[in-house]
Amino acid sequence: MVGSGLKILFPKLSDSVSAVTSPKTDEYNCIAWAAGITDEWWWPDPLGEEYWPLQAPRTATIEAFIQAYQTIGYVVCADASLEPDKEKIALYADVDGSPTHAARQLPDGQWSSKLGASEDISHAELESLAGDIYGSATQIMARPRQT
Amino acid sequence: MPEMSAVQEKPVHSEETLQERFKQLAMRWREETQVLSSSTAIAMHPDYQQIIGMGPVALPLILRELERESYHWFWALKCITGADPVAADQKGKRKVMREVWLQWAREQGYQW
Repeated sequence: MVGSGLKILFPKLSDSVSAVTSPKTDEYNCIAWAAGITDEWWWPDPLGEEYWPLQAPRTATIEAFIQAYQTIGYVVCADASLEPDKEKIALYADVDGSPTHAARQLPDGQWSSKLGASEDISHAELESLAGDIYGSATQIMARPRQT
Repeated sequence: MPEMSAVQEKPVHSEETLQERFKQLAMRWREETQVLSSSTAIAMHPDYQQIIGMGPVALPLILRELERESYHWFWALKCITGADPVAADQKGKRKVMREVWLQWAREQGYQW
């Protein structure tokens, strides 16, 4: 069950389809979580305090994020539909096109998101987290499902 | 991103006032950045910038917070001290960064 605080921040979250799946932690963020990493905070910050793949530009652009995920086997794909043999992630960007968030698709078609230093949640739709904070999902990437 | 609070900077006159001011800024900063992933946005929050602006007098308070939980204190530590004790292959690993900074502070003689 998603708490009232999160529902205020993300009004499109629905109690019937969203669930908190981990406690709060700042050990990792959504960008790392989408990559399957739970012990690093990924971000191309200019001070160089966070992890960022060396092969990707250290800039906060969707193109740089695409290149970051390409280092772990993801490629740009057309849509967010569930394909059993593929793992998909979605990149969110604000109205200026700057990356804000990433979510990864679960095997049942729902999406899993780490909310900053807050909890991991599952949500039925990418649109569930759309709004003022994260903007909207603007890019989908996929790779062969890892066994 | 949610609208951030406009904060009027206040002079700090005593240790008690400094602690209260720090606590107020840190609490609001955490609340308003809790769901953000952008370390840049988190560090550019006006309350965090005010904490950095406090300079070295804020270090014991930051180190106390860091000992309790890491969150995003690394930018402030780096900006205030000018030091960078975290190795390249440790960047982003919060547990490790926290221990490295606390050890560095002990070696420098900081008390908190």
